[in-house]
Amino acid sequence: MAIRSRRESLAASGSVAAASAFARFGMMNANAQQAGDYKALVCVFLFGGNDGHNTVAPRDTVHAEYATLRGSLAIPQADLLSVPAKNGKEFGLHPNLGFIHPYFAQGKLAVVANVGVLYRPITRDQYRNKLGPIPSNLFSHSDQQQQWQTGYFDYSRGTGWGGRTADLVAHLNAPSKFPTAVSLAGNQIMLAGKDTTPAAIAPGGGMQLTGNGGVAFREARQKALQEMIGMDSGLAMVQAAGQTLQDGLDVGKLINEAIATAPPLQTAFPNTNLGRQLLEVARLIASREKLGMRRQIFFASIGGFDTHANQLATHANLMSQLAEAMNAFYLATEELSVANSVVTFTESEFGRTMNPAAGAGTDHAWGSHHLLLGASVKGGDIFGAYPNLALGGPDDSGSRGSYIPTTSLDQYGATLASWFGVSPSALDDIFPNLIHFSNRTLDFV
Amino acid sequence: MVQAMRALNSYQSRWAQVLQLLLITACATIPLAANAVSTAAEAALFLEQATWGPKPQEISRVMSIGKAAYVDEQLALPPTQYPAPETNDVLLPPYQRLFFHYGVHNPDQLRQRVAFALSQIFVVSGNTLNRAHMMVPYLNLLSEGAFGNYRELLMNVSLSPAMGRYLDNVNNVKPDPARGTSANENYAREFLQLLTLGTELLNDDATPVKNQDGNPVPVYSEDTVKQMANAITGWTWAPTPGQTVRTPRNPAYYGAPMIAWEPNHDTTAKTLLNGYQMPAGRTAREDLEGAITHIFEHPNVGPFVSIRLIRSLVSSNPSPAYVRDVVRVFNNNGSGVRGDLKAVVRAILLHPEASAPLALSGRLGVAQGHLAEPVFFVLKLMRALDSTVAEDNNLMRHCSPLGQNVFFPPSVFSYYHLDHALTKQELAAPEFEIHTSATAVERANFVGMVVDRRLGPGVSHNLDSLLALAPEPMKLIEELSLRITHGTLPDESKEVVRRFVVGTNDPAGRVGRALYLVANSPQAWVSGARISETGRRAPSGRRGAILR
Repeated sequence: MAIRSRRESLAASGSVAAASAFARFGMMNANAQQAGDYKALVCVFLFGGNDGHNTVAPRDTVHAEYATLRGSLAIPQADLLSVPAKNGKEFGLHPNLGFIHPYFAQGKLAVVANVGVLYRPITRDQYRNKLGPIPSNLFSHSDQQQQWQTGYFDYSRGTGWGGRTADLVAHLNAPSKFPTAVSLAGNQIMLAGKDTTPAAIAPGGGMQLTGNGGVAFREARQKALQEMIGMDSGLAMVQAAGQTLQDGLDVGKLINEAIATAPPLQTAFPNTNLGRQLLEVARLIASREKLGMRRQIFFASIGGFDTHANQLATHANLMSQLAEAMNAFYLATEELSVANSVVTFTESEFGRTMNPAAGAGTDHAWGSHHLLLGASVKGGDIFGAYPNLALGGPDDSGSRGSYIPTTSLDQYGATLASWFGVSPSALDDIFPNLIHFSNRTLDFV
Repeated sequence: MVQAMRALNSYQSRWAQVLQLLLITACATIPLAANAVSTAAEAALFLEQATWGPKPQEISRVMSIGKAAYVDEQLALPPTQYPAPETNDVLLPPYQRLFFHYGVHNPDQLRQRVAFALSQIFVVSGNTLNRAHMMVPYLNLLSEGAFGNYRELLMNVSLSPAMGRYLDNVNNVKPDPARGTSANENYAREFLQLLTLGTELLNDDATPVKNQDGNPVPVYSEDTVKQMANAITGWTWAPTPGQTVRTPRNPAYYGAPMIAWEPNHDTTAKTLLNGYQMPAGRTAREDLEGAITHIFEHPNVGPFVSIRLIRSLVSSNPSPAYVRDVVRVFNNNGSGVRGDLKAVVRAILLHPEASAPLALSGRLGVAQGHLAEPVFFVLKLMRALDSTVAEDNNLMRHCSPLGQNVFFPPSVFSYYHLDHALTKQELAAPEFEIHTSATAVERANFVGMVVDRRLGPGVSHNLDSLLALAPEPMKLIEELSLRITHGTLPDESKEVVRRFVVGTNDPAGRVGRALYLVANSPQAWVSGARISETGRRAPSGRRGAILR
């Protein structure tokens, strides 16, 4: 509230004053006034809990241990696409990540190992003996999805870390009325801010009222409709239903006007669900100047990762879809000359057990490996600590290879938010548990 | 889930006192409100709770026989059953079409509403079960079970091949140290989290129990999940008729409950909730029945199930007292039976809070109702227009862009989380999870397609009674408001509609104009919304949240 009223009062006082006043709200303003200044964060959420162990697997002598533990689910060493870490350990990407594998050698693709939600670092012994706070309801899809998106383990705040980041950068987009955070994958709490409201749009346009009867008739009808939904019924749920429609019409108008005048993208995108989402993100980025945007946060997603059974084929197909869409999107950012300004990263509620389940699948686990792609990414390395794989070993929370994260969501997200321009002191407002970690950010971007 | 859970439970507790006070006041003025129906609007509100929406004839019927008799009549109707497909090649679209046909025309409306609500607890999806022969027996099971006993439903679902396939419990095998595999935890975990208990200990009003530190109390541990997974190993497909049983597993067959294959069943002892022991050496059926009976008795089941059904039928934000009253019936139907869904549904619909007056002041009014999910909204409009929807219709293609592709929920959490909240408004609002900038515009355009009669073959509307009202615009608007908003369209909105309607003298044009605006009013989108006596009427032109 305080921030909003301040912004309103600043709106009249000019952008320079506004920019300096906003420094105290956490933005570094060094680049804020530069022409062409642009940054975007693109989250690709892998719903269901991606099997990180077959996304990035050991490819050196550790592979033998991995192969024993994984049994029929192990990917043969020779099939893994080599991604050597700078510390000399060799890992390999899933064979179906071939579309993005070359970016590792080019220094644009990075892996962060064993990331997960944590309150603070915790050992197996502490976890087993309940000697320290842990995230609530571990291993539950919905809980860990919320935690990855919000950074909170109690959820009463109703905002996500992307939305809180958007709150801090939204002034750089002024006077644009376009939302700073946009989901291509439905309403996602990650993008909800205290002060900013995201839009959830569908790939492929639309978002305008259609119907028979000619333009004048439709305009009169829309005017009457908007007059109706603009009234205050005094009922919160009724207001929210109508307001969502009004938001859709407003955002749709801006998008349709901007995209209509943007030159068509040359980059070909796969005609998959994720491909269509990322194509729409690319279109919006292509229209960034028309829309007046300097900072944008996007949310895309792909589902189906809850591979409890028959995992190998299902997961291989998902890896293909992921890699093909990420590759197309990266190429599009090159085409748009913003490859340095856009970072795409994965999230997923949890990893999966190293130990297979009956039915040739895996069950819910905790930490998992994640991918980042972009010309600003300090690629060509594996960041964070790869866990000791021993079942029931020092890194296992249980007995099936459900590894305690060695990098927390807060560190992962704070690194991205820092790159995006959030000041060190403001990171704690966005990532409530960051204070419990001595290495506040990693050096992957 | 717990996020939303916790969020909205905190709203519940915040609302609790206000709501209860207001309700006591409100209900004191409506003696035996549960049954009496004095106005058409009250009847229409009730029909939004008990059916896929009011048809003109049904409004007068409820007014003449009362709610209790209407509910009892509904409870006695035979269940809708989908016909078996002729071959195993049939895909789901013909059955999606039937869903809308049945929804508009079949008499067992209440059963269909409850079965659809249950399908969002006992989730399976066409994304996995992509052939009709896989899905149809399960749809019929839910239709039959909607008015049965919840424990029986848990058993039948647990043995159903569709659920066995969807959550991987078919051919689940005991831990195999030689092969290094564990029992599959998928169904075990979701059985606990999504079918019976949730993750946290609940009070009998569905608010979370807090420990001395103010934190919620987990109901089960990772070890419980593992032990439950072991307990339910050893089930495989029933033999296809005419085939002999093969070892160690039969080929997929969806036409009969799964059967036990004892060599795959884990026979060690298991410890479930609160230290409950199941001894070693039991059969697959003994362990499954033992586990289900034990979990079904847990006090969380009543509040867990009751609040979900209330949210689906009546209101996203029931008062704690309302939940408690329904839970009491879940726990004991009056004859000592636990989990009697007929009694639970009756208690939900005939509770004074469901019938609370249309004009409610203050926060009680604010909390009533729930966003009509796309399936409900589509069916509600068809029924309001006395439409004929043939077996071969295309409504599922129109419903899908609104956010609900029927029979294809995207995850085990169905289309939306049953405890999603509008956190800024401090309201539980499950259906709002799929109400986005994009789907809201699609919803408005769906109404446009109804008006333009562009829903494709198989759908026609009976507009005669509306056309007859065209010369008197306000009567036309009142009639549409009754059928679509149970008469809650505010006078100011009616005036906006009237001004637009009188722009033409063509009767069909007038009906189309009125229908478009009334059906796109937020009062039409939020089912069961009341009229706020304290509402302020802001001037028009107010912007949405995003572009504020």
